[in-house]
Amino acid sequence: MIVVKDLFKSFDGVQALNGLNMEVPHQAIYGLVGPNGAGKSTLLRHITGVYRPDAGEVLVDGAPVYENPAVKARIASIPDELYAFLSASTRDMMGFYRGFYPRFDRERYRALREVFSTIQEDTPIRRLSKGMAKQSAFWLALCCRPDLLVLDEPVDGLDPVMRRQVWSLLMGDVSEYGTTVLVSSHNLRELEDVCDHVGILSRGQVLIQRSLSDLQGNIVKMQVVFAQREMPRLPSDLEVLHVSQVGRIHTLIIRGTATEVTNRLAVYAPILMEALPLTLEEIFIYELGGENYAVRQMVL
Amino acid sequence: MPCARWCCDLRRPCAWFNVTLFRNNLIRFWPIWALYGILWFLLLPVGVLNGHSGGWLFWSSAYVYNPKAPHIFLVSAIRAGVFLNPIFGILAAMAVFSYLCNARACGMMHALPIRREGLFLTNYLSGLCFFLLPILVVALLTLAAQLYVAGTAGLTSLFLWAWCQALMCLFFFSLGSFCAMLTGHLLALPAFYGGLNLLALGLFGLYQQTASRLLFGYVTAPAAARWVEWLTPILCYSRSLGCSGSPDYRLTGLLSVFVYGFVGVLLAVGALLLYRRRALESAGDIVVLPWLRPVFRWCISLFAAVYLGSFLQDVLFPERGDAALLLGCCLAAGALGYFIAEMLLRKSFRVLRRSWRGCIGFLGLFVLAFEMLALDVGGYETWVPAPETVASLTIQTSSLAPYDDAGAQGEIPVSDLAAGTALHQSIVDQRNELEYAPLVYLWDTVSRNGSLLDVETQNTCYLSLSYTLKDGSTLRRTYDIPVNAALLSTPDSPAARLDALINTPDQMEAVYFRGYREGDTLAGAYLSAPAAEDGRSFGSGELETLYQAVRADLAAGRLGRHYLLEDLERMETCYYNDLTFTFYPTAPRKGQLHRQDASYTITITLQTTATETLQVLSELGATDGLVLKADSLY
Repeated sequence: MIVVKDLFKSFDGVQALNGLNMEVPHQAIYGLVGPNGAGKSTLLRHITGVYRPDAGEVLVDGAPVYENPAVKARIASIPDELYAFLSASTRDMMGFYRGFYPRFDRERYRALREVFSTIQEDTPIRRLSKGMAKQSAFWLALCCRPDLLVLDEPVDGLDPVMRRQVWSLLMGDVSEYGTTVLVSSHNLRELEDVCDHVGILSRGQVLIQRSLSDLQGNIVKMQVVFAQREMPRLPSDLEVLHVSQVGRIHTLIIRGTATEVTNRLAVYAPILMEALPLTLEEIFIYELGGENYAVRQMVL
Repeated sequence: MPCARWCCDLRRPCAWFNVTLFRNNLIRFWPIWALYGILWFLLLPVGVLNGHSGGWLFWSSAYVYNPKAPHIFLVSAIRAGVFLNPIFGILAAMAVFSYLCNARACGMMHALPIRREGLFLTNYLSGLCFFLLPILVVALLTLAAQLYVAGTAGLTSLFLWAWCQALMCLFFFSLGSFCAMLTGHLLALPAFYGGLNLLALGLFGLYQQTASRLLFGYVTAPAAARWVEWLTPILCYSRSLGCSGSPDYRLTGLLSVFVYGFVGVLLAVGALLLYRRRALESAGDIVVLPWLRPVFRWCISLFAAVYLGSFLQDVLFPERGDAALLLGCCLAAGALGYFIAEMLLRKSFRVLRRSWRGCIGFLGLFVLAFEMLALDVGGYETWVPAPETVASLTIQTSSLAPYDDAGAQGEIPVSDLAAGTALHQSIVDQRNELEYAPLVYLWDTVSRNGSLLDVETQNTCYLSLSYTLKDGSTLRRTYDIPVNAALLSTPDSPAARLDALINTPDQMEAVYFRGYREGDTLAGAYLSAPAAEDGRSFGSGELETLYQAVRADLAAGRLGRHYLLEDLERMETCYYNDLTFTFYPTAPRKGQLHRQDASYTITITLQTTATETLQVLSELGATDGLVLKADSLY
C-alpha cells in the first residue's frame, strides 16, 4: 500500500528524515513507534502529501502522494494537533470535508452519531475538550471512507471506553473495507493490542519493521531450572540475548522459535522448562536495546 | 475548468478549484466584504441621495451630487478607493491565506485532495470576490439611486468607477497575496505589504538622508522622483488619481490604474509560482524563502543603520554633526538592526554567537559604502560649473534685513553668472571649514545716544544655488554660510561674495521689480510709519516724482541694500518706514475680469543713503515721521 523510498527531509539544517525506507502492506494496521524527535510526524506529513521530500519518494499503491489529489482523496488523516476553522462545528466541518472527499459517506455520518453521542454537532470544535475534539476528528475521518487512514497519536486524550470503541471501529473498517491504517505512537503497550505490523523509527530512519507475529515467533523467553544450580555451558550457535537468574530459576531470552529452542535445551535434562511469549516491549528491548539509546529510552 | 460538483459526480476530486472552499471563504470572512461594501454604499448610493437633498457632510461641496452632471460626483468618488483598497486588500489577503501562517491549518489544508494551484486559485478568486461583488452591488444601488433622484444615470462614469475600483483591488489584493507567499507569520504580512508598498520611497529617502548628512551642499529633493513615485503604488495613486476639477471634471491618473492592474496580474502569477515551491514547514517563520532571508536581514540592518543611526546622532549628540560620529551611530544602529532581524528570523533572542560574523560583514560593507560617499568619490561636492556652461542661475537665501519685498527672497535670477559661480567656488574651496560649522547666532548690546541697542555679531545665512546648464541639465546645491564682520570685510570669503552678489543695483532692482511688467500703471504710494496713523499716502501728482526718485536711487545703488548681518550699520541706515507702491497690470491676469483685481504692490524700506528719494519726500513734507532702526521708538 505505502512504499517510502530513501526519504530525506531536513529543517534548517536539522536532518529529520535520513534516507528512510518503509513498506506498509495493504489492509495492515501498521504501528509506527519511536522516541520524541525520531521523525514520526514528519514521515506522516509526507505520507499525507503535506510536505515535499528533499529526496526520495512516497508512493501509495505505486502513485506518488505529493500534489496528487487522486491519491490524497483516498487518504484521511488525524494529525497530532487538530485544526478546525474558527467557530466551525462538527457539522460545518462535515460539510467542508464532503466538498473535498468524493467518497464522503453521509449515511455513515448519521450512523456514527450514536457512537459519538457525547459530541454536540453544532458546538464549535474549538470549544470541545481535547478528547471530544479527537472524537470529532475520528467521526469525520471515518466518514471520508479512506483506503488509507493516517493517525498521529490518535487516541491521546480519549477515555478508555472511547479508546476501545475507536479501535473497534478502525478494525471493523480494516476487515470490512480493506482500509489500511498507519498509526504513530510512542506507546508500545497500546500498539501491541491492535497492530499487526510494527516499524520502529529512530533518528529519521526505520530501524526495524516486521509483522508482530514474525517478531514474536522469532524470539522466546525460556524459564529453566537445571539439575545443578549453575547453568550448563550452552552451545555457541544458540543465540542467547539475555540471561538472568533468581534462585535456581534461569531466565533466558533466546533467538529462535519456541519449539526449536525447547528441543535444544531439552538435552540438558532440565527439571523444569517453560517457553513464554515476549511482550512487544521486551522484543524491542532485546532486539535493539543496548544498541541504541533512543530505543531503550522509548521501551523502558 | 471543471467545477467541483462535476468532479464529485465523477467521484474524483477537482484539482484546480473547489466550490466548498470558495463558499467557505465567503462565509467565514464575511465581515471584510460586508464592511467594504457598506463603506462604498455610504459613499455612493447614500451620497447620491443626500447630495440631491442638499449635500453630504463628508463630501466637498464642489462634488455634491448634481443630477445634471452625475459624473462629477462619481469621478471624484474614485479617489476614495486610494484609501479603502490598500486596507481591504491586505485584510482580504490575510484572511484567505491565513492558513499558511499556522502549522496546524497548513497541514489540514494541504492534506486535502486538491493541488496547490487549486488551493491558490480558489483562495485568490474568493478574495477577489470580496471586492468585486460589493463593487457590483454598490454600482447597481448607485444606478438605482440615480434613477430615483433624477430619472437618468451616468452610466459611463459609474462604469469607470467600478472598473477603477476593480483594478485597484486587483493590484492591492495581489500584492497582499504575493506578500503572503513571502512570509509565514500573520503579523509580518501587513509589515511586508507596507514595506513593499513603500520600499522604493524608503530607499530613496535612505539615500537622501545619508547624502544630505555626508555630501556638502547636497539638496534633499522636495518630492520623490517620478520613478520612485511609480514604484510606490500608494504614492502614485494618491498623486495621480483624481479629478481635473472645473470645468470638465475629468478623471486623471487612469494610466496608473491600468498599469497597476497589469502589475497586479503579474503579482498574482508570481504569488502562485512562489506558492508552488513553498515549504509548508515554514508556517510561523517571518521569511519563508531561504534566499529572501539575507535580503530581509540586510534591509532591516540598512534601514536601521541610516534612519536609527541619524536619529541617535540627533538625540545623543545634537551639537555635533561630524561624519565619524554619524558613522559610529550608524554602525551601532546597524548592528542592532542586524541582530533584531536575526532574532525575528531565528525566533530566538540568543543569536549573538551564530550571527556576529554576518554582522561584521554587513558593518564592513556599510563602512565601505559610507566612506565612499563621505569621501565624495563621485566629485559631487567639488563640482562647480564653468560660467560659460551655465544658461541661468538662481539663488535663494534666508530672509535678509531690511525685511521688505527684497528681504524675503524667493528664487531670484543672478545676472552676473561669473560672480555666482565664483561664490560657489569659494564655498567649495572652504568646505572643510563650512561643512561642520555650527549654526551660530550671536547678538551684542551696544550703547548709542544713551540707549541700548541689540546688534547681531554672528549669523548663518542659508544659500541655495540652482543652475540650469546649457546642455539642459540642472544642478542644485544648498549651503549654510557663516557671517560676521570679519568675514564680510574679507573680499574672498563666501559671506562677502554673497553680500556683493545680492547688493548690485541690477540685482536689487530685478528682485524688487520681478513682478513688474513694462506698461503697468502706478496707482498709488504709501509711506508707512511706526504708528499706523502717521502713515502718508501720496496723490497722483506726487506719485511719479517719488517713483522716479526711488528708481534713480535703486539704479545708483543708494537704496535697496540688504544686510547679511543685522549690525549697527544696518540699524543706522534703515528706517522703520517702508514705501509701498501699488500697480495695476496692463491687462487682467488669467482668471480675473478686471485688471484692478490683479493689482500688486512693491514695498521698499527707506534708507538714509537714498538721497534722491529723501529729497523728494522732504519736498513733499513727508520726512517728519521717519525713524531709524537705531533710534528708540519711545
